[in-house]
Amino acid sequence: MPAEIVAVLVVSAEGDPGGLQAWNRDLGGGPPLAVLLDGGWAGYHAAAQQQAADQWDGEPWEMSTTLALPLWWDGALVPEGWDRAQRVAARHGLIAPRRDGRLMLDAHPSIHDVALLAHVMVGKCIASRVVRLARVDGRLVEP
Amino acid sequence: MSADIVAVVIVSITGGGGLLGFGPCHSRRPCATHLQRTSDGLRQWVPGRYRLFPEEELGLPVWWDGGFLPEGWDVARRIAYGLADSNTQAGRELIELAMVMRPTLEDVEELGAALVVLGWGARVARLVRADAHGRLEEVSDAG
Repeated sequence: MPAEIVAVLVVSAEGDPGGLQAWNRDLGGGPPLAVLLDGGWAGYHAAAQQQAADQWDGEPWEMSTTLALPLWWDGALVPEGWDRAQRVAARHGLIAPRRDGRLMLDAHPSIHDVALLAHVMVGKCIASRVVRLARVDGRLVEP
Repeated sequence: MSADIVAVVIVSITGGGGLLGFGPCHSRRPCATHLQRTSDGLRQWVPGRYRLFPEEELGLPVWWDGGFLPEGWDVARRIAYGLADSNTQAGRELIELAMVMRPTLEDVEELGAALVVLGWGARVARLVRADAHGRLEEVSDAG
């Protein structure tokens, strides 16, 4: 029986050309991030706590570490991740405006919806890959 | 007067972290600070989280530098979406507003005012450039 997928992440293409992981440094706003550590994925804050204190200075993780934008996490939508993905998709013309010209956001996607958008972004070279995770022995890993 | 507004900030209720808390996977919400004890005695809003004294306010910027701020708007609209009562006309209009991807200045002011009514903000601060140095000063409804 295949493991149940409980998380969907999207890894930016090299240089993050779409801005999936971009930070607003003036105002301090940043997207959620998942970090690959020792073969398992963890939320940004949890991953930071796993690292030695002298390696953690509160700044965004070094890009040498594998980071990804979580769209679905622990069986639920990550609103901030999904919103960021939709905004990047809109900038690349992947979301069509309504008849009145307004672009509207999808507030309640399914896990299939978020995975589909992630795959479309890979196809457009905005992202390099989609990561699906299952919980195995308490860790979030690719099955 | 609206043409002069360069920023709109939903002021956080003292002690309430709802507008400015961390999201899943440590997404970081943008923030602006209302400085009270400046060297020249002039109050001003600045980007970032610099609160040093209890009387200094923090807020969620939803409009900044003359345009909507995606990270701030997405936080505000998601809160509004979750609070709106779809059984009322006002609630349905708020839900419609909360789905907009690229809001106007009037949109962000309207949604901010709704959050204040719903108890999620102390007030909506409308900011103008007050001098040649670009100091951001709050204006009252009367201008």
